[in-house]
Order: sequence, then structure tokens, then C-alpha cells
Amino acid sequence: MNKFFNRPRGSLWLVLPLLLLLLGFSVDFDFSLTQGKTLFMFRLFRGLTALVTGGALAVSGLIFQTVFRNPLADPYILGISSGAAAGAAAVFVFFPPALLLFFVPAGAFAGALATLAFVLFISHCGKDSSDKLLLSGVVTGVIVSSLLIYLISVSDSQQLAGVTWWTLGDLQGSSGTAIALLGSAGMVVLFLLRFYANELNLLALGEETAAVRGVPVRRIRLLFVIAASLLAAGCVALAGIIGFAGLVVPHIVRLLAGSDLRKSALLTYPAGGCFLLLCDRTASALSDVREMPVGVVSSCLGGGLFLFLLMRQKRGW
Amino acid sequence: MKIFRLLPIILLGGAGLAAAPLKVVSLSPAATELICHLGGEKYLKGRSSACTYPPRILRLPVMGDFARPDTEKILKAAPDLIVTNDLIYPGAEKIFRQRGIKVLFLPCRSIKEYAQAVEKTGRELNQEAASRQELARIENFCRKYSRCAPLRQKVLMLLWSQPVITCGEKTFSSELLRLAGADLPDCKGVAGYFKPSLKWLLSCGADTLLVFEGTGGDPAKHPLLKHLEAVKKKRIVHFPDADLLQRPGPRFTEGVRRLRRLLEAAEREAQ
Repeated sequence: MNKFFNRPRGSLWLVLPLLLLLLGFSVDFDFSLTQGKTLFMFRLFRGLTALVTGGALAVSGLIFQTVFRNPLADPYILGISSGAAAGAAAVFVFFPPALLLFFVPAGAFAGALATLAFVLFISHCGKDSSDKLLLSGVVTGVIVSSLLIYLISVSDSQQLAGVTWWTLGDLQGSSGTAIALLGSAGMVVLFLLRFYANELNLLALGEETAAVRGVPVRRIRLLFVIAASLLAAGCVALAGIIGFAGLVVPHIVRLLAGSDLRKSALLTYPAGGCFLLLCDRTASALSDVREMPVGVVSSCLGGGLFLFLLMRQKRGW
Repeated sequence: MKIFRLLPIILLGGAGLAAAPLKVVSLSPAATELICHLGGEKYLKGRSSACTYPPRILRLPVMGDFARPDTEKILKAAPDLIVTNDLIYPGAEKIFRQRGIKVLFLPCRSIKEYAQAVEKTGRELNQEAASRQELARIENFCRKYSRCAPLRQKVLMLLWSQPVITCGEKTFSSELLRLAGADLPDCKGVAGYFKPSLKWLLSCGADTLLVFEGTGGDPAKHPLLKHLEAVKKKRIVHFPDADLLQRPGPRFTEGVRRLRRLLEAAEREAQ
């Protein structure tokens, strides 16, 4: 199996049809319903949202795990999710309900960007290192989370429902433009990742090793941290906070295709899309009337799948 | 002999104690409305920030938020009785009980539970006559409205539009909707307030969309709601005061009355 996945083109032949199949299952073709056509369109957009969000989160997670050489790194490690959640919560609390539709994603994106800018500023004061960047991100995330908790404490029941549902992740109701924007951003980052795969492979061995081999460590790190964070911010603005996809999918791909980014980078995006589509489909199947938060399914399914693969793993990490 | 000399003092003291004004803090908006309705407003010494009706109680000091009381403020006010619903933080309730303050729970999720709350509150505030009157009023009202002709309308109640939150079975609002003569779309037994799935929302067959004032923008411009048949046919009923249908207080009768009128008007317009 691993031999098969070691050939990126071969593995793509397997993943892409799976992706299309899942997308097909996600879309409801029941045109006998009075609202059949509308439902089809909504499902299609929802499926596409899952695809671009899952792919972007997985690629973002892969970049953070590589740059920080930390298997626990995920797209939200620099406090992006806390910043986005605080931004969205501020909109829910301070804006009139009629404006929420547009301003919640905008607030989330602004919150994520502000957090990223603050983390980058802190990490660049004094000696610059990836550990310092990581620590600044984690601590900033905690500080921003306290702001979120404060906003939750002053919100009324309706605002609280909005914030809660937003933090659980929601793939419904994204516009075509937003999906296209995130999809394009994902493609650009994927291209960058493939282009700099050799440098990132060396960076994964250690900053000093990479520097000795002539890799401009600081520049590459900054480029990819910003790219991955922007991607994560886009995901959060589009679909709220979806946990585990960015953490578990790169590991699954690494277990199947190895840790060479030249092989795993291209596979990670469709694998992330497949994963989130599967989660969304499962969430829809589990509840007919009541909406099941996709974040719940992604954590359960992703965690279970990851533990299963971990148990079967024979070689070292 | 001495005991006889003391008797008038004991009796007078006892009478004085019985007449000592009861100090009540209400932490639930529905309970506050009920207390005022039963004539117990004079006992109220504090309220929660959510208790906003009747407007004359706004002069009372705020002693915390809904279900999140400010323990220090309440202990300082030293009330004899705290009236709340079952959503109160359990730690706070324990503190009050330890300090000898009585906590009266009034869970109100149905008209039956509201009637029980009327009875309990009347007993605690020595307003039994008013409570009996209120019980008779509700009974007559419910009897009258259950005899009304059904409206044959399936009404989707929109509590919040971002995200879309609607009302399911076993809620106070759904009971009032049925009392007004309409019905909920079939939500397959899902109880409470919930976020509906897309498929259910589009295929639930709601004839009318009931929108509460201030819960979101125009449904005709909402990316999801605009696809509902009820919205396309412009069968949207705007309800001006959400508290009348969502707050299990004495004004629910007014809520049912208004809802019935609005739904009847919508039905006439559709014909």
C-alpha cells in the first residue's frame, strides 16, 4: 500500500475519483422534491466548500508541521482560530442582526489577520526563531481566547447561539465567489509548496542543517507561515472553526506516502477535501432534521482514523 | 404570672414578624412579570438584567444576569426569597441556601408548568387570591382558544436567522402556536429549539414563516430562507414582540391572541 502511495501520480489517481465520488454523494439528486433543484445547488456549494476548506486546512497544517517540526502543529497553532473567533464574536455582540451575514466572515478574517500580525511582530522582536514564533502564537491565542470568553459572557442567548454555532463550523451558505477565492488561494499555496518542496524538506531536518545547505531559512519560514496562516484565516472566515482536519490529514498522508513533501504535498489537498466531504456527508446522514455540526464529526472521525493508522504503523514516526 | 405579662409582647412581636415585608429578588424575566401580575411588586428588591417588563421595575437594582446572579450583591441585599428558573448556576443556589435564603424554582416550559408557577408564587408571596384569579383566567383562555377553528397552517417559527434557529416540539412557543390554531411543520419529534438541516428546511412544507422582530434581516434576502415556499409566496408574518410568545409569563395570552389575528390575516390574504 505504501509503495503505491509513494508514487504521487498513482495515489492521485485513487484520491481524485474518491473525491468526485464523495462530492457526488454530498450532492442531493432527489429532484422529485419540490425544492429538488435548490437543494441540489445548495448541496453542490456545500460540497465545494467542504472540498476547498478541507484541502486548505490540510495544506496549512502540513506547512506548520513542517516549518515548526512539530507533529502537534495545526493551522490554528498561531492563534488564528482564537483571533477569528473573537472577531466573529465581536460582530455577533456589537452588530445588528441584519448585518451579520456579511460582517461575521469579515470580522473573523480581520480577527485572524490582526492576531497573525501581532504574533509576527512579537516574534520578530529580539532573536528570531521558530520556537519563539510558536510560543508567541500559542500565548497570543490564549490571550485572545480570554477576549472571546469575555464577549461570550456579555452576549445574550441569541448572540450566544450565533457564536457557538459559528465556532462549531458551518459549511452551509457560502457564496461562489468566496469558494473560488479560497480555492485559488489553496492552489497558489500548493504551487508554492511544490516549488519549495526541497527547501522545506531540508527545513524539516532542522534549521541549522537547512542553513548549511544554503536554504534561506528565515525567508522561507516567514513566507510559508504567512501563506499557511492566510489560508487558515480564509477557511475560518468561510466555514468557522473546523477542528482536526488540519492536524490529522497531513499525518495520514505522511503515513501513507512518506514525509517527502515532493510526494505528499500534492496528495494532501485532495485528501483534506475528501476528509471534510466525508465528515459532512456523515453529519448529514446522522441527523435528518437537526443540523449536526461538522466540527464534531471531523474530530471524532479524524481522531479515530488517526489512532487506527497509528496502531498499524510499524516504522518510526 | 410572668409569662402572662410577657404574652402581649410575644403576640405583638409575632404579629410584627408576620407583617415584616418580604424581600424578593427575581432572576427570571418570566417570574418577574408573574410577581408583578400577582401584585407582589412591592416585595421585589432586585432583578436580573434580563427582567425588563413591566417597565416600572427598571428602577430596581440589577443583581446579575439571567441565570448568572451576582452573588455578592444579592447577599448584601439579604433577601428572604430568590425566584429563578432551573437554569441558575448550581453553585450560586448552594450559596444562597447555605445563607438561609429560600430559592424558589419556577421551571416554565409549558402552560401546565406556568400554572404551577402561578400557584407556587401566589403561596410564597401570600397572594393566593390573585393566583386563583390568574389560574381561572388561563383556564378560560385556553378553553376558549381550544374551541376556535383550526387555521390549517404549518408555521415555521424563526427565532434567529444567523444561524437559522427554529422551534421544535415540547417548547412553550410551539404550545402557544397550537393554541392559536396553527401547527408546526413535521419535525419528526425533535424537541426544543434547534438548527434545522438544509434538506428539512427546504422540504418541511411550511405554509407561513413567523419572524420575530429584531431577530435578523429580511428573509427574502437571506441566502437560505429566500428559497422557502412561504417566503417565495410572501407568506411571512412579522411578530412584533418575541417575549409574548417566548417568555412563559402572564402576557402569553396576549401573544396567542395577536398571533391568531396575524395568522388569520395571512390566511385571508392568501385566499
